[in-house]
Amino acid sequence: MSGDPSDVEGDGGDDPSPFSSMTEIFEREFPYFLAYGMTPDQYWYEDPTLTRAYLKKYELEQDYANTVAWLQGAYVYEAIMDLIPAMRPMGASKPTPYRSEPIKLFEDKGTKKSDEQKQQELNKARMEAWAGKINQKIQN
Amino acid sequence: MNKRLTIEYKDKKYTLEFTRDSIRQMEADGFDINGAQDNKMPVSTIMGLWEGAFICHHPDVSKETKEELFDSLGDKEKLLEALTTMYSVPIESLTKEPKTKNAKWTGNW
Repeated sequence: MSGDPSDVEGDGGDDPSPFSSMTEIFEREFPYFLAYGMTPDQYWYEDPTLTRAYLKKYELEQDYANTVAWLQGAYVYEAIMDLIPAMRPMGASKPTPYRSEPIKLFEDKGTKKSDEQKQQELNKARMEAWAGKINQKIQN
Repeated sequence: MNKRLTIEYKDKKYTLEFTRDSIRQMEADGFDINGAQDNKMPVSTIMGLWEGAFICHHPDVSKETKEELFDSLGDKEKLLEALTTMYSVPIESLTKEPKTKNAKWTGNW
């Protein structure tokens, strides 16, 4: 795949002939940028720096595809693990049901408590427990 | 964002810029940036670069007007530097943004 600095500058690798004109490089790179989603007009006539945005976009898309593939792998793995109890040759038991809802990718803002809030709640519970013990001692 | 140069001359505004297409046209007309050697650029290359910068926004400006404009501008060295920088954008932007250098500096105050 092109769009790599070493491809444009020529690193003396597979291609023995250096480029003879910029047009040659532009034409060589053109199909790659079409694949990245650029239109011919954008590539030839518009702001030439748009190519950088499309390179970044391509990277983000690859990253996304990679995450999706990873997630799918995680579901398959989990499903196999759930089935294992049913596949034991001796003493097979019921398989663990498949998860009822998808893995949460993002935490709900409403339910997420800050560390400070959690600490405050913990302190309150400790105080209540301590007060309870004291009261018990007094009553006894 | 592409690098542009604007010139105002005789109540007219000119925007100079290179796109891949304008460079393709320049090269088809015989322009060769490799004509510049040892940091010296032949007059024909300088003028080719100058005239090519009009292709994008002012393709109909005559050769005479372009020359007149060129003659009217001062600090040709800086102008040439700006033109070569502009000319390199379409090729440089085919690659990723160069990473910033990792050098660090510290002061003694």
